Amino acid sequence: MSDPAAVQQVVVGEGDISAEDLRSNIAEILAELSTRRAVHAYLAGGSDLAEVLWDQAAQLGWLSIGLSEEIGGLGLGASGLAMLFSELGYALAPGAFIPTLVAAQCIERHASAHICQEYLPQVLAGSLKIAVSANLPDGGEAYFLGASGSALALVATAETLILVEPGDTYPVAFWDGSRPCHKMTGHRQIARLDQGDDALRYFWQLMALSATADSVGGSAAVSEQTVEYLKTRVQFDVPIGKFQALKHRVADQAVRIAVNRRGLTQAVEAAQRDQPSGYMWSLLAKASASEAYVQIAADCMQLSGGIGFTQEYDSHIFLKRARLNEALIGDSAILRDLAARELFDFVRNDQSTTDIPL
Amino acid sequence: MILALKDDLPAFREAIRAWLCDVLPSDWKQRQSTATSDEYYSFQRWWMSEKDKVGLATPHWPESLGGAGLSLRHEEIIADEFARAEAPTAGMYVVALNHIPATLLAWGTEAQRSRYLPGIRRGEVWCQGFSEPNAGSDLASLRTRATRDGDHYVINGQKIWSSHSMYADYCILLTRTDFDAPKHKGITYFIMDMRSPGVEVRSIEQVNGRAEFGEVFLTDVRIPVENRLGDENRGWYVAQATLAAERGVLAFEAAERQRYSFERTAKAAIVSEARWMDDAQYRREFVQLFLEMQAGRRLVRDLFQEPRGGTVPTMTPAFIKLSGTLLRQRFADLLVRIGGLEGQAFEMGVEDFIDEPMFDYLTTFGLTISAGTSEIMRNIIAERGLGLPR
Repeated sequence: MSDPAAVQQVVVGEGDISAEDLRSNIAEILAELSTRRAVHAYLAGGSDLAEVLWDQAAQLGWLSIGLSEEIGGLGLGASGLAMLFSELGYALAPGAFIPTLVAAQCIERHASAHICQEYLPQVLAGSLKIAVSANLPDGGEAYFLGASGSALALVATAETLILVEPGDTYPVAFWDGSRPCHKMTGHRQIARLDQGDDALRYFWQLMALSATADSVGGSAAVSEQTVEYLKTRVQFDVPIGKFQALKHRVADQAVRIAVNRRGLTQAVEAAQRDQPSGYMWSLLAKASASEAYVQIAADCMQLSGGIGFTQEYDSHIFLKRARLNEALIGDSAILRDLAARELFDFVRNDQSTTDIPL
Repeated sequence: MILALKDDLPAFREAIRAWLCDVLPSDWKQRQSTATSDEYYSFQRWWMSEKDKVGLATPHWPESLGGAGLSLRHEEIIADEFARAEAPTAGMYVVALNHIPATLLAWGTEAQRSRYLPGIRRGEVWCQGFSEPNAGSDLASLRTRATRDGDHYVINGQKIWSSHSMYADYCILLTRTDFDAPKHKGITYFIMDMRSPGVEVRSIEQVNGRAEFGEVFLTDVRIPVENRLGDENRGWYVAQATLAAERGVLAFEAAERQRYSFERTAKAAIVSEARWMDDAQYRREFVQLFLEMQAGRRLVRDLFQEPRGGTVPTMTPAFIKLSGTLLRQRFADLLVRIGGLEGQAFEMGVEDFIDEPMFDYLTTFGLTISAGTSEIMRNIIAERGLGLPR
């Protein structure tokens, strides 16, 4: 994740830590806790890594990164979420971070003060996990991202976004075992977050932005790891990284990651500035970054040779996360169609979506 | 009057926009696309002189070199406004405006700077004599010979892909002075007057129908010793300063032109109710490229944030070159497919981003070769950036 270009100086709270300091702090702690060995153990059912990380996150204030300072958050908004989710993606961290924090962000923006008072302090304390709709309603099965049995869920229907107390929930075993998913039958509505589609759009915008961040972090990690493998694996008496056919593939990965990282920046800035094009940019960034993650993770599996095909190596964990990210919300075709409709509307109204303030 | 507003950025921008609207004929592209090379040359000279009248010929040069000493912010505004107005690019002045000051600032003597820089504002054209028929990607293997003869060097050899060399007044020339040393250590760098006896130029016709670069044949050309840049056999290091000029504002302006090209395409599609918007494949490809275009603009901006001459070389310039030129190619490729048979109709363009799909498409094959092929860029990223063994 060492990309000095992406550094953005933001003053956080009273401590005057820069955003970059916070990022490296998060990265360091994850490198210590969410090691590859620990992730493998978790996936094999032999560790409580997800809970350990969650407790750490609560203690260190990561769960407050996006919420406003008035309610005890760090006030970094979408940019804070993107930073955290990139690092969690980089570390292959298991858990329900994305659903809980996206839901909290939506609650703060769209729910009544009473609802905020009731639930957000619990999120900050780490005592409440929230599940969220994982796919756009398209007449098919509705899935939820987050732990089965969560006390609270944010449900996106075609018309509205509602906060509910889930009825019965059924865990779904996906190939990616690092982010819990489930189905739900019945629920008790607690609050309707708004009547128009603004809250819905904001919810999917943040979901897309979060999946983008996870994808950018994950693809950087798998690519870096593969570059190291090419430096050390010797065949024909040379490190295989000497072969141009392989060099060019990882160079292309690096470029693609750099481009998608800026796609994420675009989505984050549009969200931070509350631009109407933010929804479009998030969908486009997600389609691009998750597709790139899948292709990079698959390429890395091939570049890792026989070891890459084994359960004990990491390639498959990246590839499975990438595939889940790609399928989240909706596939790339659906997201691009939604974004194209937005774009053509902006153009029709002579509104530019591409201004970057100096 | 434009420069007088430099402390008020919005007014500065407004003044440039108004001036461009005033001075630039709206149909210049149509007229120049059917112009002969000589007519286009005259047009570019005219454009340079118009820019000079308002102080925008060399806005990015330091004041000590006769420039306006504007900041990066100003440069961004100028590039953005030029791109928005579809104003002519630097064209045949690219080397004169960027590579020459970068090289002379780093390696030129005071005498060389005062001798050569003022002429650039007056429209002198410079070309680059680097590549040879057998020294392309492997530039350091060049074999054009320079032999010391009293207070001159005598040059024999051949250069190729020298853009605008047919119209050039001067050439920055790489030669070999030591054939026994390792290849990077026997190269010497000169400024050559293109009117010297023994210089012969032939233009080369390109796949897009234009003939912007030439072959330069050098037979017993005499160059005075004072035209040497840097020490004898140190030319490779001087050349690094020249090549570094390809970073920065040039890339910025290309990325901004790309932006407006996308916006024009989208607008034209809406206005004409183009059928491709209803085609899922085309529509999805377009928005994906649209995202990459915007990401590319941010990549260039990030380059500006990196410390200049930092000790750790970053991969950003190589990322920009590789992804930027390939994006141009993929976008042009999409527009050619969208264009169908109609798009195959022969329409000449001039410069870049003319919105003639086949012309643009063919032009991009020069972009992925010149200034470091895509393959060389991948080597650079893999070896210098990712640390893979050479």
